[in-house]
Amino acid sequence: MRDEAGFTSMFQKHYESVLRYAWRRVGPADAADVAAETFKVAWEKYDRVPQDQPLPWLYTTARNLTLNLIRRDNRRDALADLLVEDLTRHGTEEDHAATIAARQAAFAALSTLSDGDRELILLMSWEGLDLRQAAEVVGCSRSTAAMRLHRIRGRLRHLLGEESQPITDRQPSFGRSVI
Amino acid sequence: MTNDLKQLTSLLQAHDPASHVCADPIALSATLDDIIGNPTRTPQTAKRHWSRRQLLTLIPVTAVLAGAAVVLPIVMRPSDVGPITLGPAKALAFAKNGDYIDIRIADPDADPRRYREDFASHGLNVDLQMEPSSPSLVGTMISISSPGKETNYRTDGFEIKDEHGSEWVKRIEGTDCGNMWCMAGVSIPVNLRSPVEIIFGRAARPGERYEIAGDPTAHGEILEGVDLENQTVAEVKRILQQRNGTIESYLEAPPEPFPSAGWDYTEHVLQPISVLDSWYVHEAFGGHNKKSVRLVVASWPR
Repeated sequence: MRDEAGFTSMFQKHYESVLRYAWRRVGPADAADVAAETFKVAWEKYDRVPQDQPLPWLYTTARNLTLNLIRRDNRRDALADLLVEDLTRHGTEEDHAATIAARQAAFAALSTLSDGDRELILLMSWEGLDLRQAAEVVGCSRSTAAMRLHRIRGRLRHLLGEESQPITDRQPSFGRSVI
Repeated sequence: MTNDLKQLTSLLQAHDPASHVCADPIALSATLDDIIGNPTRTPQTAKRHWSRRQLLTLIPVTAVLAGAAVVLPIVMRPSDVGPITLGPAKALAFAKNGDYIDIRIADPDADPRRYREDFASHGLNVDLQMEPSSPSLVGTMISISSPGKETNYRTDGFEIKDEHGSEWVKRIEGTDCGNMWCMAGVSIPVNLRSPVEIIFGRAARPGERYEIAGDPTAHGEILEGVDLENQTVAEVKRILQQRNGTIESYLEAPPEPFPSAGWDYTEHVLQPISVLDSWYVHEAFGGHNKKSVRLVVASWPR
């Protein structure tokens, strides 16, 4: 028999995190549906949800649902739209041109990563997961994730120019599309 | 983390598109009610879960019932019920539990007639079928139904419905069958009106094919302890090779997050040549013998 009180507590504690996760990947229109569906799966498989740290499990489920949604609708990742919107909203005159360009270059670099590599970075940035937890969500071992990070770093260096120059100080990268 | 990565993550954190998102308490409460209070979702899923496997695993009975397998009886003494007594045919163990009788299997290899004798001695109209099953299901009750009546799976048992109302048969936990569901026994109302049919897993005899295969990653099965989630076909092949296992067939994964009730894997068998090693294993079903599995695969991760 499933632990209704335990599930309710987990739901109340983590629903917003899962909602935000979904919002960041599929946008506002589908975020609530993905979050609700994630917890429906969690309820059905509650005995398989790690009780001490359920978030990576929930993110894994939400990730599978978002991937299916994106694939089913044959649409592009809403992340691109969200970031462009965010840049438009925040990239106003108070920002220096170089800073705006640095953001654009960074997001452009992010967009060239594979889905798994990008998700690894996003999980650590937005969801605040450590490497082991992020690895669990994308379905690889911690050592594999560490190797991927090493590879990502090399790729960032290649895309963003010289290693000695931090990305936030970069000059505008004209002609490179944002995402 | 390297300097470049640190800066990228800092930048992303500063541009979190969901930083302003909060859960609406009313919507949150409604969603929770919908999940826990939804009377149909769990039963539908559970029923589909079983029927899906049933479609996969039930084949015409062709086995010759010869040669007895040696199986130890599984009788567990519950702490909060009356003493266990064996039926006259010594095939079943009974324990009075309020208005219910707890029933467990005492002799998994008994002749079906002996089970009927024991049930009849307690005035219960129960028919027990023994099916050769893979190791994780041996000694467990796998299915329960009532001929001509609707049987719904609930979290704590089974509801048998007809025009006169409902009767409840409770599950007795204590088994671990991976992602299959099975029971150590059932608890049946003393005054049960409805006839009940129970399918029980027994060990296959030498050369006998399984009628019901369990979760191949469950205890005692060929892929015991393996987490198949997002493993590639190549990885699973390698693990199987190490364990002298084989792939009986490949099945196409359903396109949706949750397969519709009508999704029948037997209609979606893939030619092995069309399955690439780089594809992902979504799920695995047991095959018709201890060493074989059926893999549900797709080109995308689950």
